[in-house]
Amino acid sequence: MGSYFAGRVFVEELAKQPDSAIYVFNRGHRPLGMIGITELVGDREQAEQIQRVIPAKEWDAVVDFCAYTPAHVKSLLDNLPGKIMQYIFITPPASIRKAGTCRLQKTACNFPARNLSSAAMQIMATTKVMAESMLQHTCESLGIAYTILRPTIIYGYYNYAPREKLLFRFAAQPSADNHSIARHGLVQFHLGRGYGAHDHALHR
Amino acid sequence: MIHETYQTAFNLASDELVSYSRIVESVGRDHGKKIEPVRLPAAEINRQGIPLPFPLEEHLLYSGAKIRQLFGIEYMPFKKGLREALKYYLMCRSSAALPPPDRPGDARNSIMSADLVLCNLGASDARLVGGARLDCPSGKQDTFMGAQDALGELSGPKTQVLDCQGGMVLPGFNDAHCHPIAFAMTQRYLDCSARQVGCISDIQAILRKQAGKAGKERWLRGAQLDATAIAESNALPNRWELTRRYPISRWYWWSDPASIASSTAALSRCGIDDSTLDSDAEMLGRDYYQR
Repeated sequence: MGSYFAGRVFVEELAKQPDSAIYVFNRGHRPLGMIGITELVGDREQAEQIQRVIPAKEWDAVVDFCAYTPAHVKSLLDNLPGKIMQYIFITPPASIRKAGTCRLQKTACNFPARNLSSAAMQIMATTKVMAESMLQHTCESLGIAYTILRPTIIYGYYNYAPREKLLFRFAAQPSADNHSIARHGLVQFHLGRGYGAHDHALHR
Repeated sequence: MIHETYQTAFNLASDELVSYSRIVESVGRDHGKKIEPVRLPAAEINRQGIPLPFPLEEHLLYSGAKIRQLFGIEYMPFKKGLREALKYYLMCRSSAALPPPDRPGDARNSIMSADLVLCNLGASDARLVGGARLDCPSGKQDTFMGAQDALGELSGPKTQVLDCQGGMVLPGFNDAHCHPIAFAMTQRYLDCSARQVGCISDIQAILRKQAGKAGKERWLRGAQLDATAIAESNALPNRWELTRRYPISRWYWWSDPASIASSTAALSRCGIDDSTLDSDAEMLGRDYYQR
């Protein structure tokens, strides 16, 4: 599930492994076109398409890069044909504030930011946490092993929507326009980001 | 060890701390531009709706120790990752000649969608590899020749992907093929290719030079004569032109795999003279008159 950015890199790396059999399920808007990869076209939000398009097999692992809600997780687990041995859920970390405090209970929300309001970010973070909970409960009831991987932030090739787009846009402009970044009001804040070292506060 | 990953969650985070100042410094260095940040209060940034990647009022710190202790994984350094992201961003912009898309759907549909992708192929010309671009016949879309890693970037919803299974791809028209045996044979013939011959006098010079070496009893055989490269005629030279000053009768030319120009003597050795009729498989052209 998901093959635009991190999912694509994952498929490219996995395809290097001999004897790997890889199936990719997405809406087909941007086919991988890689030899040895079976691409299945369908919409994960349509349960009927999950049932019809994905063949019934004993899946060693289902790797999901694009589940954002509990419904996404539940729908896939309920409708994917065949037997799932392990469900690997790739999802950004999320945090939920306790009312009236600024203390991070888990980790901070890590969604594509457009300076969302605090309330909006809390809603998104809550949805992500609920998706993880849905995964845990459903997998346990179905007897499926699961693993959750939470990349904090991913830099690299294939990033079609970089968070740093404002800065990148500046870099793409002609040299004569060096001061455009100032007009856009880029700021410098001393905020540590992404890769932390304070595990005592952050582990589950 | 695999089972230790079951029913659990891991942060994927390196020990590097990333800040706005590091991002600015890295992008500026990679792109050779001096960036002068402007400091504004977080509330003012939010009021203006300036799109910045991270929350402004708190540090976000994650630990990747749990999975690192289990697998000892390493991460791409931040600067390298940011450089790759910038490279892809700039490539998308230059490829599409459009502003960068805001939504994934736009990215998939508007950037680098090729009509046809040939993968796993051999190329006959070194110029065709290493990122060269060729115009495809439709004229609608370029064909990019490069590493297989680029396949994903070039594919779109209407892209046709063909697996060439290591075969050779030849640029050409409808009937691209080659004659390896004939080519091998002609390597021993006089080289009359366009590299050596640009006019009839060039052919005469080659004939004269070789006739002196071979003697009267040896046949002279030429090859690779390209009629379109001869300045005077845009056709194969006739027997008068070739023997105007130095009458040499024992020659024939293999101009291309489908046609041969021969002297009267050579034709006679094959039993061909003025009375020989064309067959249904071949046609005899004759020099009945001088140009």
